[in-house]
Amino acid sequence: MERAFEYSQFFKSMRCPSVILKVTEHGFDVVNANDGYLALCALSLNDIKGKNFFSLFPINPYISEDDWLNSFDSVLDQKTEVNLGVRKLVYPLNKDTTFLDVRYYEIHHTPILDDQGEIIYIIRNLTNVTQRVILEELYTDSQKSVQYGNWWINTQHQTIELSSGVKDILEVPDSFKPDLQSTKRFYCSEEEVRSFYDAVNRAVIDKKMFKKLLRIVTAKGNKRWLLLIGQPDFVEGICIGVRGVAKDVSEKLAYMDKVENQHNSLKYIAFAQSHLVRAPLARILALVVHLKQRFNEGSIEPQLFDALNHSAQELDAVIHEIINKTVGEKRLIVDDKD
Amino acid sequence: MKLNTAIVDDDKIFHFLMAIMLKEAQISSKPVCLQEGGQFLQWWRTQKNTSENSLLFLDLNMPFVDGWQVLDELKNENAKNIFVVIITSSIDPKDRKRAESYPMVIDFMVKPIHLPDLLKIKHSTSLTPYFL
Repeated sequence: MERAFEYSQFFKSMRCPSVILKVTEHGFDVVNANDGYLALCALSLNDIKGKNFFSLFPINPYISEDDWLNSFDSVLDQKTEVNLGVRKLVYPLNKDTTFLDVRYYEIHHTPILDDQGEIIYIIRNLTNVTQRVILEELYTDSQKSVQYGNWWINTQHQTIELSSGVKDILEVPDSFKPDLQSTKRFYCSEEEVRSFYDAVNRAVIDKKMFKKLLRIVTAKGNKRWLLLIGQPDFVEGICIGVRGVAKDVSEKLAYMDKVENQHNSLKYIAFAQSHLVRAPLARILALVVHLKQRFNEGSIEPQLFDALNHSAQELDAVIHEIINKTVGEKRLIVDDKD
Repeated sequence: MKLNTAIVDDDKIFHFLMAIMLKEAQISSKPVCLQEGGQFLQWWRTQKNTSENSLLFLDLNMPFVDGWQVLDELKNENAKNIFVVIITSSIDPKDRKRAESYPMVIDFMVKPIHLPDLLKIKHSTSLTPYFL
């Protein structure tokens, strides 16, 4: 009796929300629930004791009805503890919920077997991992929004790990399991592969951080510029790996390229105005002064008019060329709307 | 003292007008007219070993060998007996600043060139001894 009391108290005071279900022909009846579980459901033990689990919680809005109703299939099948992974639930966990307060729980089902090895009870534990999941989601979202991610090469085991941000850049699914060989297909050439591993080796030898700009091809065939910043990991002087961040800088480089083109255009315009436009213009001005002087002296040479005409036509041609080069066919200056 | 005068510019009309003004300014009655830097450097190599000095009116923007290349060549050869007046249509202050860094450049003139500009040159400290 004393022993039963002790176990009951122990179960009741467990912080991790837990419920004990009896496996019956009709389903899963609640036998007991600890304070944490009752708080989670915002129900009392009297409200749930002896009730069928699925009648208390007919649906989980965040998983399919089939998955929800078959929640216990795996433990019944395997007869060992099963980790269902992280599931999204609402708070309070009862049929009067507003569905607004979402929480994440890692769920374990532990079977209690009878002497014949049949399951008579299932203990359902829910560990609140909401904070961890939210932080992970924020981390993943931030990696996506700024197009960066993390990578880690384990030199001891010759393995490579990529964060969801890097997988996103490489346009591979989250389920993609990279290895040193398979990741080589993302490099544009053998030379790029060599250059990356040379940088890694140098960083390991020099025990320094390294930066490398790589041209890669994603799984969907898109070309990207990747800036890799890494540093070797040492344990008691022995390098156990290299880890770092990868950032997709394609847009930044494209923008810089555009700015450089515009800068070149402006340089061309400055040159054109200073040399090409002013050359015939200065000649016209000089000719006009000369013509005026000759007119006053009454001795105008007819070829001066030809020179004036030639200079005016040259000026017109130069202006046309500048227009063509900057906003015309060659379009050195491209409107942002384009 | 004799001063040989050369005009290096790819613009023949400028040659024509400049020759008239140089004559009017009594700087040179028959300047040598050359159309790009390469021609000038050839001419210069025949002149540099003589005791005569040269006054060069040099354009900057020319095909083949431009004015900057000519200045570099003169600087490399440590040319002493030549006075260079830049004559350009460029109003870019950077060009003026760059030109002034060459020791043989005595003036930087922006086209169109007028007679008073040439008279000013003629009476500059460097050239006065040649027009006494």
